[in-house]
Amino acid sequence: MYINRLNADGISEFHSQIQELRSGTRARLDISFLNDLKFLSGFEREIEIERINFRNKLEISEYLVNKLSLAENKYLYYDIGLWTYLSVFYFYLLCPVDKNVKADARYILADPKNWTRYYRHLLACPARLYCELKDLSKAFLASPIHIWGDFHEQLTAYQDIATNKPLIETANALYWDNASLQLKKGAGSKGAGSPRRFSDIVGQFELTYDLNVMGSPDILTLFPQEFNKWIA
Amino acid sequence: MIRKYNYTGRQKISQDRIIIKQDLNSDVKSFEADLKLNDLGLPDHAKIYVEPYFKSSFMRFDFGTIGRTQNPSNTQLTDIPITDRVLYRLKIVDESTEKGLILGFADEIVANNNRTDTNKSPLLPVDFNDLSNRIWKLEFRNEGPVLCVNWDGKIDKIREIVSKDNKFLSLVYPEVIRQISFNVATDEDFDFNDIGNSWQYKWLKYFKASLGIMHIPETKENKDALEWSDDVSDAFCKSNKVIDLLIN
Repeated sequence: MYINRLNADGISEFHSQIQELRSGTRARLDISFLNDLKFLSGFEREIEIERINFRNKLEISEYLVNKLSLAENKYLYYDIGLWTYLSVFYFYLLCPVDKNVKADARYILADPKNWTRYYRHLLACPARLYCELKDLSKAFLASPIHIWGDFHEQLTAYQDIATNKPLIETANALYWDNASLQLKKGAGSKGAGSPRRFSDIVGQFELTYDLNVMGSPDILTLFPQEFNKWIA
Repeated sequence: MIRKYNYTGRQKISQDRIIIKQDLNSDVKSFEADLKLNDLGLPDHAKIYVEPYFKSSFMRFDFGTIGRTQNPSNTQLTDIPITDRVLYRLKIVDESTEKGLILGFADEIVANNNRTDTNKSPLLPVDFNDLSNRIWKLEFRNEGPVLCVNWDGKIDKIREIVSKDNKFLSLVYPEVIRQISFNVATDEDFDFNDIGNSWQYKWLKYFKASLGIMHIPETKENKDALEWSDDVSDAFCKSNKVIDLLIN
């Protein structure tokens, strides 16, 4: 299949189908409309993509960033038709058959310059984070594509945190286990030292320090004792 | 009163020293900043960053140093959604001796094209955003309630409709007033006896002075708030003769 864009009718068709999936009047998404020109607005390059069983967000993000040459074509970050087309094509990963259909914003990219909505898209946001942060995005992208835990929620909800490289490096140092290549056990919790506290405390640091220009080791020294349990 | 500590001697930069001009004519907005910062006693090597933002969207531009300020060649707001109310934050940062320490700071800077005298700022600002299929919605932002209307890329002549069309006023504003008064009535942090500068107080003053609402809800319970906000909305309709506005 070649990459394309959904037009307004295509997005509307997708939206109708996910509503039917939610209500139980449809068992599975019928993606045959991706072959119907009346639902498509075309794409400027011929890029073939395959239906692969990517295990996590990192694998699919790496694949899409390379296929789209996203680093050289950052205007595609905001492409509603493209990312919604890709959501349909990879819907089996975004919403496995035994899982509930999540909010529209997870699948349909709307108001793409509004980060409050953008960060919730299950393909556009991980691909952009991978493109911007490369290896630093590993903690964001380690989980299966349809899973969005509290770690992701707390660290991606604000663009100034999600795109701040030293800060994400610091979050990785606290919550990422390099040995198991997974988030450390308990990194999804909500108590002392949790990612929720991390984003709260960063808001306080930002009154005094410009965290964009600090090194991760310097940032780590600012954190209070409750975070010590994460430092090996 | 909340006491704020400033152990690091960070300077609060007056907004008079920061003139931001937004280019509103091109498809993608951009801006220029005229910064008067060189007599603040800050070191010449201190870096200057300007950060436009709207809600959780954010960008960052390098404006050189105190000793050599310069506008970046590209200041397009490519990552900021459609809005008339972009805010700017300015940081002066020591990246040498005290790496990352903020030496000077200013926040909630409004572009001069959009700046109004505080005493004349509208009680209900209007912002034009991408609201998908909706025509309008009311948002409660830090500054208070803002009437958000779908932008002119979606609805032709919407700015004219909002400012001049009586049908819009008669159909939309009664519900806006109801939502605002309901929010005031249920806000646990707002005391009806307080006189202050909060947006709630300003609206309460309007309800009293312009709509003749002299009573307050008996409790902050939903049922009392609903009853009171209906009273306020009805008083608005009566005062503005909204039925006449709709049919004439």
